[in-house]
Amino acid sequence: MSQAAEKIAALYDWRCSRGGSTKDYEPFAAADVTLLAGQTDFCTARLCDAGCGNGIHLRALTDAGVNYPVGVDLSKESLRNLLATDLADSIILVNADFTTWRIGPIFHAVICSLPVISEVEGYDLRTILSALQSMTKQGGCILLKLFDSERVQDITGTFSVIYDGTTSEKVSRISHAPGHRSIDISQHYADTPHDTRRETIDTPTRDEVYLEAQAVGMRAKSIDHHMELPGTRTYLLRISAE
Amino acid sequence: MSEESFHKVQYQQLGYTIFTNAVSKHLIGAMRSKVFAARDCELIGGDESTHSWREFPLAASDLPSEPVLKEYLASVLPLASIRIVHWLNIYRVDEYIEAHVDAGGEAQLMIPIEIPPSGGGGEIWIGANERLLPLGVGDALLFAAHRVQHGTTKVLDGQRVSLNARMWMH
Repeated sequence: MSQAAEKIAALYDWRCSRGGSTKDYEPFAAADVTLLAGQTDFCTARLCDAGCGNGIHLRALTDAGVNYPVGVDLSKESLRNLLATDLADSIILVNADFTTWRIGPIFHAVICSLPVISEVEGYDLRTILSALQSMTKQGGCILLKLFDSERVQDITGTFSVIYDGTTSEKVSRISHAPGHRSIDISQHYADTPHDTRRETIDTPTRDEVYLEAQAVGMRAKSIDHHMELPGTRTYLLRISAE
Repeated sequence: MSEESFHKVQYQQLGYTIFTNAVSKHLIGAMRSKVFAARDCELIGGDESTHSWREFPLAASDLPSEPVLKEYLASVLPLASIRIVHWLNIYRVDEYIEAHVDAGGEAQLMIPIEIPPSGGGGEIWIGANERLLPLGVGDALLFAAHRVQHGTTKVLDGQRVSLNARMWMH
């Protein structure tokens, strides 16, 4: 695993280390899956969530009738948390960096929600798009959700979230400097304010996504009128016919 | 549970775990050369049925050292106390192995060396519901072949070659 991948894994292990849930996000994940259901036959399709995290999309996929969706994530902690849930017997979990996993085009559809896109080598937008394309069958579909440069102002600020009403209160600060193409996320648990973790994620424009998708042989379409997680934009991508 | 690795928990709970990018291109190349060089008379029939696959026995000296794979395995099994037998499986068009549970061994490692093109079959499945496992060349599947049902789908195109290792704990 590359150093960059190890850093990302460590950050997400830390985020998941005290459990908690993201129930607030479930309606957004369900909306994503409904969108994908219009593109793919869920009865027969093989689906993957690249960067599945705590599994909200995997749950929505199984609820929609998908058989054994595959969840891939760098964070062993999130995957181990998932093994302890009622989903464990209905999904397949793989600990991998999907940007370097040589799985080949076996999936009819892939979901990739809020991947870490940054200047760090191996995690730029083109690399991520290229990796998603290589996992997807010809004619398949990719649902990609990204923080969006035109919408990030909606999520800047400081938030305190108490997961499950127990020990997982987490304080997040999201900042965005005008003119910059990235957001900074700073987080700490409420009881350990000095143990703060920071992350910078790129926020490409819609045109940038279109161009980068085209560069790797895909057509991207931004989805309007979609139930959208604040600060983000959702795209459907298809591999262009040769 | 928090002391144990994800792979160990997954193996104990579900009877399998997947190690991605676990083996070197050197090993893949060496095993492909063996299959290429082998004549049919050097291969052993997998069973007597019409869909039978073929096997090619390997000595430990046939295998290059694989540090990444060893590290993965050590996170699940007590490597110091393991005895291992290796062989290659070769499935050609129309060949597969039916649902079964192995009679011997306590754990099995399966490393795809060559896989059919997308849609060409030859995939391993596991469990009563026959869940297809996503495995690329260079990945490794550790599974409890003696306690979980498993099999492969029929090869429709190309061939499927896998390196297998059956393990016993002392």
